Amino acid sequence: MDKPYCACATPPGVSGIAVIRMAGDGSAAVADKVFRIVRAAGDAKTVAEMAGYTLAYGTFIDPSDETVIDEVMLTRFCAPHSYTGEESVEISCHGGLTVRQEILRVLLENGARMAGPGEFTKRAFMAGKLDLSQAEAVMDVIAADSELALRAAESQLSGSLKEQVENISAVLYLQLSLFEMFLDEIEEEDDNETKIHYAEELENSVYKRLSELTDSYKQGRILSERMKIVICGIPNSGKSSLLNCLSGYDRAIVTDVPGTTRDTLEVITSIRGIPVKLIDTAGIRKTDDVVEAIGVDRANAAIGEADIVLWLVSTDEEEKTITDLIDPIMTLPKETKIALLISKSDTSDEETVKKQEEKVMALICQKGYSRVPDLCGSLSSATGEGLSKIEEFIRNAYDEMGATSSVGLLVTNRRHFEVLSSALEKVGKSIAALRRGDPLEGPALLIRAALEDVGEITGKSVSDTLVDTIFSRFCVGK
Amino acid sequence: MGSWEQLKENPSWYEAGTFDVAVIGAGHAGCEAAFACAHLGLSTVLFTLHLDQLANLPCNPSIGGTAKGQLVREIDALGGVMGEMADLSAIQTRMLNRSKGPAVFSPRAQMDRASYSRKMKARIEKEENISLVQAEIVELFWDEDKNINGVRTRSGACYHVKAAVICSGTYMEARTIRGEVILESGPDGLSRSVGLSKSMADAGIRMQRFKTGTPVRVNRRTVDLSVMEVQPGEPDMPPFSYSNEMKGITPPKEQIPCYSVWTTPETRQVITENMDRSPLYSGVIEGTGPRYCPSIEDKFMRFPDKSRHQIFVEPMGEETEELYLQGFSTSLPEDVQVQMVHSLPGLSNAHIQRAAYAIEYDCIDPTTADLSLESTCLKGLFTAGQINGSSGYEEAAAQGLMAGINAAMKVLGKEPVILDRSQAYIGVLIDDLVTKGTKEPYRMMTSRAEYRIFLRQDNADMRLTEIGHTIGLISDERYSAFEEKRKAIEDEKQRLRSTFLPPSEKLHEILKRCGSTPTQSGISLADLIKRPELHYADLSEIDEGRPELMPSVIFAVEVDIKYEGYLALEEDRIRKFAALETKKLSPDIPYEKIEGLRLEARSKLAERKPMSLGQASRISGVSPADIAVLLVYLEARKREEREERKEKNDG
Repeated sequence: MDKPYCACATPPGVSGIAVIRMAGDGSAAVADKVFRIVRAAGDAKTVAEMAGYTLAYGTFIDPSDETVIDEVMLTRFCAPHSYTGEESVEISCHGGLTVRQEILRVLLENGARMAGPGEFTKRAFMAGKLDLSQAEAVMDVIAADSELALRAAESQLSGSLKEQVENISAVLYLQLSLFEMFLDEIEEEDDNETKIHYAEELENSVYKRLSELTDSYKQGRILSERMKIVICGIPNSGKSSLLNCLSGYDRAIVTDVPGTTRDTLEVITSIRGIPVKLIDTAGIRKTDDVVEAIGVDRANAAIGEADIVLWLVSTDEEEKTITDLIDPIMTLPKETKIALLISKSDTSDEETVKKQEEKVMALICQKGYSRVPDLCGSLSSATGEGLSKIEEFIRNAYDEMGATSSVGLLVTNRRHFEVLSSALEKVGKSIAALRRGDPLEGPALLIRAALEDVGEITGKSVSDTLVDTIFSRFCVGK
Repeated sequence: MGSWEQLKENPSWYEAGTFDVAVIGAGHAGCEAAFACAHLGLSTVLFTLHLDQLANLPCNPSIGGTAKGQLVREIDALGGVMGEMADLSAIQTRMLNRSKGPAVFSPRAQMDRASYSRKMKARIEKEENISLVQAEIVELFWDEDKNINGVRTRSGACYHVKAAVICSGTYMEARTIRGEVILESGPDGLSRSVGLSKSMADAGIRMQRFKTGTPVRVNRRTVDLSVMEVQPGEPDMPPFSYSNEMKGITPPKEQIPCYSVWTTPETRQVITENMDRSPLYSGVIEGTGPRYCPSIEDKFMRFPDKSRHQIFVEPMGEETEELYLQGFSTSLPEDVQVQMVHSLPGLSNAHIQRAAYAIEYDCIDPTTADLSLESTCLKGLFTAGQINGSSGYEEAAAQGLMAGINAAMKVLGKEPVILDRSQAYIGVLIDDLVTKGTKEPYRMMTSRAEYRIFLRQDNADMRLTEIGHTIGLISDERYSAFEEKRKAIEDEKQRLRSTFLPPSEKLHEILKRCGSTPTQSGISLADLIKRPELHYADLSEIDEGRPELMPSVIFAVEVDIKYEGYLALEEDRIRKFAALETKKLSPDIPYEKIEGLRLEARSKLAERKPMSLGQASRISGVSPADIAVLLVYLEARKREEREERKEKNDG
């Protein structure tokens, strides 16, 4: 049986509330895994018990660790009285991107699948929920430009992704045809040496490229999920205060004792509508304290994965400790944005700030780095002065990332990611089977199935899923 | 033309009888078609040009092989005769592809050619509902609505029929070619069929011309077999036929071996020096030959970096000294053939009994037939075998069986039986031919089957015997034996899954012996069998509750368990495939008027009238966008009809 499918029905971007729609047989069953009713019409205890067109208030949880993701309202629809004519639920949650992404992730992990482009509309149409005139309109669209419709699948893709996927597809075809030729050649028998050779070919050509593509989604995901912002600096440079300022509440314990923050601390919040994960690190310094040393290691690890590093230097910080941090920060990948902030006490003036900035820049230069951090001026955690400049910086960094279509950000669409992951998994299994010396027909099946997967992106395989391509003109979830 | 009206004008013509179905041609396709019709209770007349060459094996003296063995098993599972008859005339049996995995395991048997033909003739003659006639059919008759209603022999005998199955093999307008020597002849010097092809063209059927070939036969007495590599048979193979298996009929214990040799540099030289005399390269041959069964000169020309090719030397029967040289077919002149044969190791003094030749013949463009193998140009006319552009005995028999069944269904007023690509190689074969068409003789290959892991020779009965029983070709007795087997497989799988073995010294020892890792905790028998290095048989001493089972049951159980993951993936793919396949297209859809379709798609669809959206999607020239348009059109039409019905009811 097909899984229920889900998608966000409200437009992307930050809004007050967002609606996530899930439809298909089994929707209520999936909802019951992740939704705990607090109060519902007719005193229903589960979504399955709820009557159609009724509402429940409750918590949306991740059942793997029982963490609460959001407080939501859930509307129940029973077949055939729903948009698509199928059983479905609509979840109204808070409007942050993070929340939406989390809810979708949890639904996917609990038995739903991502809706295809225009799938809700297509299903609605198929279920007779759209009238004849609408049906004719759909046909007119197709009639107007069949050539375009032919390329509908392709139009979803940026040129370079399409090229990459087509290349992979071509290599897979070649490999499959080798397998097939061998399987149909009567007098040749299996030998393991050839299989290991095939495995290497697949590994070097297809598997690596597929992994690069799926990995690139992990980057592309930042755009739709959240940015990692790491706050770092020597102990007692005011990192925890900054975290509290940015997140708007006292999350970190702030004291004057250096080394108070011993572990990394994470806060999920939103800055100017951008979903972010703020990470406060233990102050980085050489230490003999075992617990603090672990904290320092974690801080270094967190910095390594950051999208943005906010580097705090206090007005009175000495050259030595500043120098200690230059190497770990300036050797970060060039995609990582680095902001230098001078944290000042209420007494220090602009002059001091300027001087300290110059000192840091000079030290970086001395160590031979041509790269420079972005200067974000000074910050006073006590008054909040300078905070807006930091927020501005984060916003700009976010926009900039969205605009780059570098090789690293090829796959940004969840559906493409899922299809490519599925192909990757099959190619991986095929390689493992070849290395094990399994009969060739198994690896051949896996490569064929992987080709069918990538065919859903290139639009080249003729299957039921391709019918979906014309409906991709409609917004997902509408 | 083509009507009963002509009877009055031709005094030598006469009405010779009335039958439900006429089967024209008694080769592998024709015999299956005739048996299918007869077994379904229809009066059947079977015409052959040569009564003594029935079910002839004019090329390879073997049945089965890669993908072909699967076809034979499927034919048998549906209630056809090829497998049963092949078991009775086998002189050597082998399972090909043993190292490549169970889905490509392919049974093959060397045939005693004369015996196969003789036994088939005897069986046909004993069949109540078949009238066997030696005659050449030269004309078809049809009524005003283009329904076939008669056939005429060269001598003027006219038969009333409700349906006909033409299985003309390589006989229609055939000519054989050896270098410069061209003869108007069928295979093996037998007379050809003249006129029938024209009658079909008159009915509007598009014809094409294909070419194939056969190698020389030599006398064993003049051959030194001692220098050749011996290929012994495998006497413990299961028979082709499931019913023979149940009856305990097995391949012969004493098997006649085959041999193989490699071509020498001299062979290559002889061929290269004489290429100017090859009709293929001089343009004498007009027909299109098969890429998958090329002549030896073709192989040397097309693969210049391969310095040598393997040739198999196969016996033609127990009562003959004739040997067949597989892989050595040629259309070079006879004098060159002698040099070629003499260049082979052990054959330097070989005496050639029959020379090799290429043969050209008329066949139809199979896209003019539908999935039931009925012509879209002439209703009630079915075609099967090489006339549809295929090559091979097994491909022919498979089509013959389906054409026979569907001719019978037509006469009985029942729905046709159509197997799809996920059910059988037969489904793949027929769908490929009628949907995609073919520009060369089509040979079955396992890679043509998308769902190969599911379409195995061992489970052909599990896939098809129920269908065969429903059609009426599988007896109740055989069906209940099949059900028992099916249950035995399920029970044994269940038992293996639910039997857990604790870790023990004995188990440890077995695992060690088989090169498998020891287990610390309890493990089910099924999980043990899943390990690639362990087999069902390895566990016999530790599996105390093991029942006595047929080898075929054990085989099926083992494959099902070992391939669980692959089979699940296959099922998933089949489900996706079925989604379009189950959306039926009625033949009255006015494709020409559907605006959204591209022009090419409109004309292709209008001509072919595909039976399902799935079939439509496989027609070349029909794009995914066209399929989407059709999907929308179908939905709109369905609603219009509903509205109309509602209005009628309201009115």
